[in-house]
Amino acid sequence: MLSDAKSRSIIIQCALGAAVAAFAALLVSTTFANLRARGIPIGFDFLTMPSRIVISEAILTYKSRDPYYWAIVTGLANTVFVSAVVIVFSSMLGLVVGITRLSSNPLAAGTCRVWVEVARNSPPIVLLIFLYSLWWKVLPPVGEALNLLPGVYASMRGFVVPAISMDAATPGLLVIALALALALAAAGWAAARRGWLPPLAAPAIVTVGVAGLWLADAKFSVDWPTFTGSNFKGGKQLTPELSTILIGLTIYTTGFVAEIVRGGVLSVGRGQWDAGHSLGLPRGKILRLIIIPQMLRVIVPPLNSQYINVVKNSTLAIAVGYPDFLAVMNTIISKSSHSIEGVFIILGVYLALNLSLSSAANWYNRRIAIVER
Amino acid sequence: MKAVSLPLPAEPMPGQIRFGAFRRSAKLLFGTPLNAALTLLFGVLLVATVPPMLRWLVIDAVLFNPNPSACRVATGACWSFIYAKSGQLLFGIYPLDERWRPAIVCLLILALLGWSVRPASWAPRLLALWVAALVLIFWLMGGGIGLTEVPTSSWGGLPVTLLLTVVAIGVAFPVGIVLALARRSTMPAIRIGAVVLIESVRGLPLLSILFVASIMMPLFLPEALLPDKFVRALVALTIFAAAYLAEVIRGGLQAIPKGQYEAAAALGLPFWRAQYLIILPQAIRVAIPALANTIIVMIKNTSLVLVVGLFDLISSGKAALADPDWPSPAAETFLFIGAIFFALSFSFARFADFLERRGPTAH
Amino acid sequence: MLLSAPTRVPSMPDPSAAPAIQMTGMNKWYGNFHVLKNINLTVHRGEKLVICGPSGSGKSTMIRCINRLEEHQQGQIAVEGVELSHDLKQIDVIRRDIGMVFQHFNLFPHLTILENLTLAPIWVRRMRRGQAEQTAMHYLERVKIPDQAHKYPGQLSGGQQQRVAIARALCMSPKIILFDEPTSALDPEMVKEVLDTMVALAEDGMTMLCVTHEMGFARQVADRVVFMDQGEIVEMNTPSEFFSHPRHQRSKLFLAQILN
Repeated sequence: MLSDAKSRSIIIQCALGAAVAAFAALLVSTTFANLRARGIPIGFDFLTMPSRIVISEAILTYKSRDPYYWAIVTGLANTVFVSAVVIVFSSMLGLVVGITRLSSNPLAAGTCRVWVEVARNSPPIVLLIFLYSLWWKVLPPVGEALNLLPGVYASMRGFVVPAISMDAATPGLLVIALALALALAAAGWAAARRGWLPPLAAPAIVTVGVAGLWLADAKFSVDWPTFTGSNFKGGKQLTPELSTILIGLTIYTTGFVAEIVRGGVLSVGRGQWDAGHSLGLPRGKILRLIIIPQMLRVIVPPLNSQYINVVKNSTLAIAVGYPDFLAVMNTIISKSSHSIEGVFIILGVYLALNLSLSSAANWYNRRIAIVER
Repeated sequence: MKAVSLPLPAEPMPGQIRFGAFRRSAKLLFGTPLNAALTLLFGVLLVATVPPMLRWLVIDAVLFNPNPSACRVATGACWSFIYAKSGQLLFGIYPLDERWRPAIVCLLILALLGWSVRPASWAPRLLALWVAALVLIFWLMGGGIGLTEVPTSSWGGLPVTLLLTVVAIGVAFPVGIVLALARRSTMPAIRIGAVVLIESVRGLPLLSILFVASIMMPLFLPEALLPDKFVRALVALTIFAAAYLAEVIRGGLQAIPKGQYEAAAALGLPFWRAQYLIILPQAIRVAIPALANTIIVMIKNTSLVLVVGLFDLISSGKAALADPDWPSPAAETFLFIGAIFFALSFSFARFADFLERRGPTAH
Repeated sequence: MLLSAPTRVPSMPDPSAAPAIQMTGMNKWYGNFHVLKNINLTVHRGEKLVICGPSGSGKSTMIRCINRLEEHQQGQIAVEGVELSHDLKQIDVIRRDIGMVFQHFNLFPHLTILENLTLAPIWVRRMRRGQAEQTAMHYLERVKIPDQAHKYPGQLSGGQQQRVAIARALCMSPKIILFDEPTSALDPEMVKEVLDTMVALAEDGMTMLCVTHEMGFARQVADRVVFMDQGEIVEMNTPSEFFSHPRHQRSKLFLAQILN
C-alpha cells in the first residue's frame, strides 16, 4: 500500500496535518500556561472599555476616554489615509518621472534617473529619519514662517494650509448633482481615451456641477490661517511627523512607480511605434493613443505589488512619531496586556488590507485585459 | 514640381564621431521646443537647489576639526563629527582596541554574499563554506578561544546589520527551498498550506512581523527558554526572508523545462535525489539575479530592527548624536548612514548585473 | 491563380511626372557596419517594384529609409520631389502620403479593427468621426472582411490581421505603399488571401514597393525586380528578363536557391 502513489500522498498529507496540529496544540497550551501564570485575562471584551491612551494626531476625532475599538479604528484610519495619499501622489508623479526618464533630453532623463536610483537603493526608514532631521534644520521657527503660496505656511511646527469647508442648505440635491457631474466626467474620460471627446462634454459637466451647487444653496468658506503672535489659528495643520511620512514615502514610492512605468513603456514592442510613425502620427500622439494605453495594461500587476508595499511601508510612521495603526496597536497591547488578541487584530487587519488591494487590482486587470482569442 | 532642396546637415561619418558628440548634445538639449522647455525647467530647478546644497555639503563644511565648537559656529555641514565618531557609528560600543574584529567580519560577510551570487559557486561545497564562514564570524565577533570575549549586548552598528542579514538568509534558504517545493507539490493539502503561509507572510509589513515575534515568542516558549531581543528579531527576519526566497526559488523552478524532470524520472532517480542533483542546482542558477535582489532587500530591511530596540547602524547613529559635547548634526549623520546603505546596495546590484551579463554558465 | 500562367497586371507608370521616389547615392552605416552602399533608385508614379535578395542584404532597411523609420547618413532621398531631411514636421507630412505594411502586422491590440483604421484619419487628417468610419468600412469591404469591424486584433487570424493592416494603410489615401515582407510571418494557407489583396491593389494603379520572397507575385505584378545583396543593388530588370536571364553571378545563385 505504501508504494501506491495515491494512498501514499494521502498518508503523507494526513501525517503532516497531524504533526502540524500537534505542534499547534503544543504552542497553544504553552501560551495559555504562560498567560495564566502571569494573570493575563483572555478575551475580546476589553475592546469596549475606555482606552486611556493618547493618540497624538488623527484624521478622526478621538479622545482618550473613547473605547479601545475606537482607538483601533482611529489608528487604522490614519494608516489608510497615509497609504491613500501616498498611492495617489506617487502614481501621478511616477507616471511623469517614468516617461521623462525616456526623454531624449539628457538633463531631464538624468535628473529622473538620479531620483530613481536614490529611491531604490536607500532603506525607506533612513530616508524618513533623514527628512525628519532636516525639518528643524531647514525650516524657520513659527514667528518667521515661510509663506509658500497664499495661505500656505511652512515652519518648524509643520505646514499650515487653508481649510475649505462647504455648507449646503439641501445637501441631498448637492450630492445628486455632484454624482451626476462625476458620472458625466467619467463617461467623458472613457470616451476621450478612445480618441474623441464629444464637443459639448466639458461645458455640460461644468453646467451640471454649478447648477447643483446653486440649487442646493451651497456656501463655501475658506478658513485662512492667521498668525496670532505665538502660533497659527485656523486653517488645517500638518505636523512635521505627518508631513515627513507623506512626503518621504511619496518620494520613495515614486522611484519605484517610475521604474514600473518605464518598463511598461519599453515593453510595448517597437513595431507599435513603427506603425504609428508610418501612419504619420507625431510622437506625442503615438505615446498618448497607442503606447500608454497598452502600457497601462501591462503595469497593473507590478503596480499592485507596489501599492501593497506602500501599505506595508506606512508602518514606518512609528519611526518618525506618527501614530499609524501598528503604533496604536503596540500601545494598546502594552497598556492592556491583551497580547494574543492584539496580535490577531494586527495580522487580520493587514491581511485584509492586502486582500482588498489585490482583489481590486485583479478586478481591474480582468476588465481592461486585451481581448484575445 | 520643382524639387525643394533643403540642405541635409552633414552627418558625421564613422571616425568623425568625436566632434559630433558636442553638436548632438546641443541638439538633444534644445532641438525641439519640448526639449528646450524641459532643459529650461530642469536647469532652473538644478540651479536653484544644487549650489546651496553644495555650499552646505562641501564649501562651508567643517571637515576634520576635532573641536566641537568649530561645528557650532560654521554654517556648513559638520563632517568632523562623523570623522570623530566614525568608530562609534560603524561599530557601536564595541571595545575600542578590538574594533579590527568587526571590521574583518563586515568584509567577510560582503565577500561571502558576493561569492554566493556567482553562478559558478553553486556546488555542495558552498554549504560548507557558509557554515565555516558563520562559525568564523561568530568567533570573531563574540570571542572565545584566543580572543577576548565580547558579549552580544556590546555588538552594534554595521556588523550587526550585516550579521542579521546573512544569518537570516542562511537559515531561511533551506526553509525557502522546502516551501517552494511544497508550493509546487501535487498534494493539495501541502500546496495550499504552503501558499497560505507564503502569501500571508509576504503580505505583512516586516515591522508587524517583528512586533508579533517580540510579543509572541516569550509566550510560546516555556519560561526557561526566554529568548533575548537578538533572537526574536532574527526569527522574524528569517520568517520574512524564507517567504521571499521561496518565491524566488519557485521562479527558478518554473523556468526549468519539463524535459529535465522527465529525464530525471526516466533515469529512475527518486524525488529528493533528483531535486538535489539536477533540478535545484539549475533552478538556483537561473534565479540568481532575483536572489541578489532579495539580498539587497534584506540588507535594507534589517534597518528596521532599530524599532524593536536592537543596535544596528541607525541606532548607533542616534546614540552618537546623544553626545552632549557636539551640536547634534542629525542630518549629516543620517546622510552618512544613508550613503553607506546606498553604496552597499548600489555596488551589490551592479556586481550582480555584471555577473548576469557574463552569462549564466560562465566560469 | 498566382503561379500558373499569371495574367500580367497592366502597368501604368507615368514617367513624365516627378518621380514618386528618387534615391541618389544613398549610404547608411550602423556604427561601423556599412549596411547600404551607394543606392541609386528611381520609382515612378504607378510603378510596382519588387525587391528581393538574401537575408541581411539591406532590403528592409532601404525601404524603411523611405519613410524615415531609419535614417540615412549620406546621399539624398526625395519623395514626390520633397527631400527627406531632419525637419520632423516635414517628415510627418511625408509619412501621411506613404503607407506601410509590416511583417508582423503591428495592429494596435487595445483598439477594435474599426478604431485601428480610423485612428490616423481622425488624428492626423482631422476627419470627422462619421466620415472616417465610412472610409474605414469601405476599405474593410475592399479587403473582404467588413464583418470583423468590431472585433479586436487578437481575435483574428494572421491573414485577416494583415489584410486589416493593408486597409489601415489605405485609409490614409497614400500615394505610395511600402510592403516589408508582408507574408513571411503567415501560415502558408493564409498567404494567398493577402497576395490576392495586394494584386487587386496593384491593379488599381497604386505605387508599390514590395520586399518579398513571393516570386509568383513578382512575375504577376512587378514592373521591375530589384535584386539586392550585401547592401547594394546588384541587378534591376523586368521580371521576365530577371527570372529567365539573370546577368550577375550572385543573382543566378539566389534564383537557384529560391526557385527550387
